[in-house]
Amino acid sequence: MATSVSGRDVVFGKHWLYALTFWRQNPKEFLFNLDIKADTFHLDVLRDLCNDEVDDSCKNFLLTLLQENVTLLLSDEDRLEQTVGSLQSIFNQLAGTEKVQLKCQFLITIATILLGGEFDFSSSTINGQLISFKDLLIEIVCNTKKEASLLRGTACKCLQEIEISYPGITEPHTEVMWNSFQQDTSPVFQSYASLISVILTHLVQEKNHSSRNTIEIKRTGSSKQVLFPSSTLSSEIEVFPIVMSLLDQLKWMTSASVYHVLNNLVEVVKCTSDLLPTIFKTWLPKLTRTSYVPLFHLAFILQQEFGSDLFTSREEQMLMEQLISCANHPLLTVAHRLLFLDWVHVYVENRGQFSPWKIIPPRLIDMFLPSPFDGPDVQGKKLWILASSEEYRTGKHQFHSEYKARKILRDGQFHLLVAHLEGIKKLVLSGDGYRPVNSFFRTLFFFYSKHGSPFLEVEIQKLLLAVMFTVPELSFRVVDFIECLQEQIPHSSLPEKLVSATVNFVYERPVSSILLHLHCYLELLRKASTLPAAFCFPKKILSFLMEVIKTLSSEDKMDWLLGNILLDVCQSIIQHHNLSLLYKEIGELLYLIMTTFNEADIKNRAKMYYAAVTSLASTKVKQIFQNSTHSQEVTQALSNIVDAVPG
Amino acid sequence: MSIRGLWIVSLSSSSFGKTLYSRKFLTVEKRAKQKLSSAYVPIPTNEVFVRSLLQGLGLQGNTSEFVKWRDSADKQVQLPVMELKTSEGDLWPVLVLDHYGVLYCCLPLVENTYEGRKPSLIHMPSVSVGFAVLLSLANFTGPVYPTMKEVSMRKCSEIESFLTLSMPFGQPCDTDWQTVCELQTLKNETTSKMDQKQPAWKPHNYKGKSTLNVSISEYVRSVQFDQPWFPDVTEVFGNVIVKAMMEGVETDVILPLSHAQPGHQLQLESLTLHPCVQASVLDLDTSSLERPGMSKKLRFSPPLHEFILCQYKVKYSKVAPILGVYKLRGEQTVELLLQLKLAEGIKNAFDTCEVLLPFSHRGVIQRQEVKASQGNIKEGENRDCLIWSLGSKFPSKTLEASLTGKIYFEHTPCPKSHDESFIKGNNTYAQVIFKCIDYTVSGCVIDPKNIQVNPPCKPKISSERFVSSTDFKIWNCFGDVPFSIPR
Repeated sequence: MATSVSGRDVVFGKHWLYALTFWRQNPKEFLFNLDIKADTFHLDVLRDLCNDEVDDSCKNFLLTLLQENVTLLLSDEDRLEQTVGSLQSIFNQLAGTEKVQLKCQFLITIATILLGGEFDFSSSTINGQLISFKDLLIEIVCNTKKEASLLRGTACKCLQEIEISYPGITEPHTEVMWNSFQQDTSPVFQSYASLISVILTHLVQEKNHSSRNTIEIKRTGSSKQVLFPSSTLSSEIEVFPIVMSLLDQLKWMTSASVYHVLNNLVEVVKCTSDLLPTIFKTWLPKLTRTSYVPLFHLAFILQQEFGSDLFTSREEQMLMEQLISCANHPLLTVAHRLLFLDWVHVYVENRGQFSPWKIIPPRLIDMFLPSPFDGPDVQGKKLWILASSEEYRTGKHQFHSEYKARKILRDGQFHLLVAHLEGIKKLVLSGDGYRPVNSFFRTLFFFYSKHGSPFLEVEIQKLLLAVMFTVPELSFRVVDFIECLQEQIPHSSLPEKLVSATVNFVYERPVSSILLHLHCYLELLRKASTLPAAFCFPKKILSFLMEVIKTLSSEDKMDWLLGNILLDVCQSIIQHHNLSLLYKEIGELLYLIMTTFNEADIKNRAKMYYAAVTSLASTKVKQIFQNSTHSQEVTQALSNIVDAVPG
Repeated sequence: MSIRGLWIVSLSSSSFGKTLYSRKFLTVEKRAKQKLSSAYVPIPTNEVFVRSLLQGLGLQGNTSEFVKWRDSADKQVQLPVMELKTSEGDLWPVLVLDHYGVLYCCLPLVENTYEGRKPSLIHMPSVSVGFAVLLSLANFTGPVYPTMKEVSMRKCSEIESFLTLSMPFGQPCDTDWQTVCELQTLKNETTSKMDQKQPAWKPHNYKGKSTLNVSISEYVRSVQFDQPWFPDVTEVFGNVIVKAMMEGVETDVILPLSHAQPGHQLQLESLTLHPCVQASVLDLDTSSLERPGMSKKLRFSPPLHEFILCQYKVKYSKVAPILGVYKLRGEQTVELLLQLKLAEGIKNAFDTCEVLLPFSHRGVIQRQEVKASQGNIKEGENRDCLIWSLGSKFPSKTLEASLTGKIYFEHTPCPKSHDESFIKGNNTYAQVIFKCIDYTVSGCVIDPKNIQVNPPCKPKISSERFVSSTDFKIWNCFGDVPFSIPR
């Protein structure tokens, strides 16, 4: 990988891109393959960073490499100290150059190493280097006339990251940074604003949480509120003008920075009694209509934090209407719409907490009906919202007319829910893949968990039987559906009804028609067998299995997987049912398997089960099967006992 | 609101599952460890991440195989966020966007632990921030990306530079890639010589002749089935795109959107606006922008690059601009009839107007005896579809065109696309593809004479508009449609 530049080997050389790709796949493996140790590798990297003949793009890559792998490459304090010192030295050497972006990358790397390593501020070495680096950054930030704006902006970001990691560490420099912010007219002013907003947030939070008795709030004649007593600061920090100045500058900032600063100011206002949330009022229209997702989200954060202290009822309503509109906007990506639909769902389900949105206007309810242009994920999500909405459940608006139009007399709203699932169902039945199937089963489960009506129980049975008939591979999903019902809605009788329906469905099918997907149906029967006999009809199952085995070809009877699934069903029956009532049927079935199957493992297992059933007391057999969760455990338990049984 | 890691994963057949780019932010990772303590799950290697991602999306292995942790009916689903299984725990929330056939993924930092059900996405602003980051990255890399087998040095450097300026520590300060690119050119400039702040969204001032380009791109999609119980569904929507090159730091533009026909009302709804649109013109209470009215005005201070000023949907209650009836039946030989009619009031002049009839589910076309009332017919490259090019207009008197005839298929069906399993037998459609220049179905138009610029200057203004179809399908009335019955 190394190639020579002026006679010296360079770590990655011309092929640094390929090295980067391999490195990022797995750094430890990369080092292992090159037979390089981590503790020496960083020295090679530093050497190349000092090398003037190494390309700047390569150096940027090496710096990123250091940023991402501090814990791997700099695992002790000495190495860390050495690396930081070297990087600062190289940075200083770049002082007279125009390599601004490279200098920025050096600052970011030093900050990342100091903050991202496993060592913390209490270590004297890191402490010293961090303070020293912080001072360097302050110097850069304040030198608005000489330092390149990009570099100052990066220095602000580094300081911000340091402040986030160690809240309050940059507080003593707030005043100089504030002055620099006011002087700076370059586009990186927003980095100053962002930093100051973080410092301010930490200050007010500390004020609220601090137990120090020396903190007092002073009021001046002009109603300014100060945070820290003059005894702890060289000058007092006034909150109000800082907040208003930042708000004033927001219009010049990028959306991402606006979000960050506003978000911090929300925290400041929350913690400062003299600052009212109405200072955000002028931003509400913009936040409500914006296409920038984080800012749109901020509108909801403001609504949750301040409610009627900031929003009028109409404004809250407009916000919700905009959310519903965006969730249906054809020009937004599917990901946008799914995100917004998720938000809508929360508001629909928790409406008691968010006044005054107690009633969703009818025209907005319509927007939750799946449209032909919606994919299965969006359709499913909309149906969830519909099922959760009070309006839909009570049918208290124009759906009444729809019920009449469709001549639906009872349970109209559930009829419509199921009717609107038709689109996804068609995709499922056509075998149209993974996403419609997931959406279908999850939506059905959600409907039932929300409403659990007898009508839905009947419809669910019909739908699932249709699915099993048309797409037998989905029988595993039906099993899962039953298990989910049992776990999440234990009082429901639907699992028993489903099991009965599916057992009858399988039993009544000609054996030849199900052979192609036999595994699927057997899994269904295995699950069904775990329920009481009144629902799963174990004699029917056993009779059915006899027919299946008689129909199998000799090739099928060598299938290890098939044999095991057949025996799993037998095991399930033995485990959960009264053997004395099934003795003849289970015995004949096991005998048939052990004598006709040509696979040694299957024969052996069937033989053991047969011996157990015919030789041991049914209570003992049941106990063995119930104590063991896997067939292997059962086999093991049985082999110890059955061997001892004569014959 | 920070990001712990970013990934770009290819889904192209030639490099499926390959990590095109990845980046982790160590300081954020350290915060994650501190905040989440025992709930912290480390970011795995790229190989493990991608394997888990593809498995979680059902894109790897046997997609019909049921996997309990992924496919269970009671699983809490929070798309576009997902949970990835790793050997050290479940990595969550992983945000995934599918753009241009590439997966853009990020792991936002969540600072609070939870018990039981995961918190809702509305309570996780870091997910929204991650969303903006991924969209920005996708727009930055563009559709060129998936065609590249290997990440070029240049592209990798560009992404690194972009992230260094945009989010060096995982917290984005600018997600507009065009602005970030402009910022890179600042180089050694210290501070602006002006008294007022240079907007961060406009790092440079423009010097030269002022120009203002505005365009309305409108789209129509429709589903038609010619069944009494299935009313046609048609949606009209669009966006306004602006590129303004004007001198000065702060330039205000007032752009009026009006109806092309005097006296007609412009019925726009579901408006979303670029952040540069000023709040002062937005009247929340009256929602003036969406009230039916003669014109709407948007006031904004534009950046120097092209951007989408607003996106809208139209309150469209009329019939589809092109109405159709499609009748097809048969097995190895099919008879077909497709009738199209241009709706009244729609401009009869097209840049393109053609119909695609796919038959890949039936096999290769052996021969066809199909006649069109106008235009010409040709077979697709793989002989699995017909393309009917109608020309630039419908007949003036009738506004109707038709296609009729027989198609004979060979016995071997073509390999079926996984996404269109529903398309079989008589379940099929005719897709109408059209584009009309200097026209919108909504009537939305921008009159250059009414555009105001402050401070006053005389920019060279160009205004254009077009409407084109997207997802415009007329389904065979002898088959079925993969939808539930619309209201």
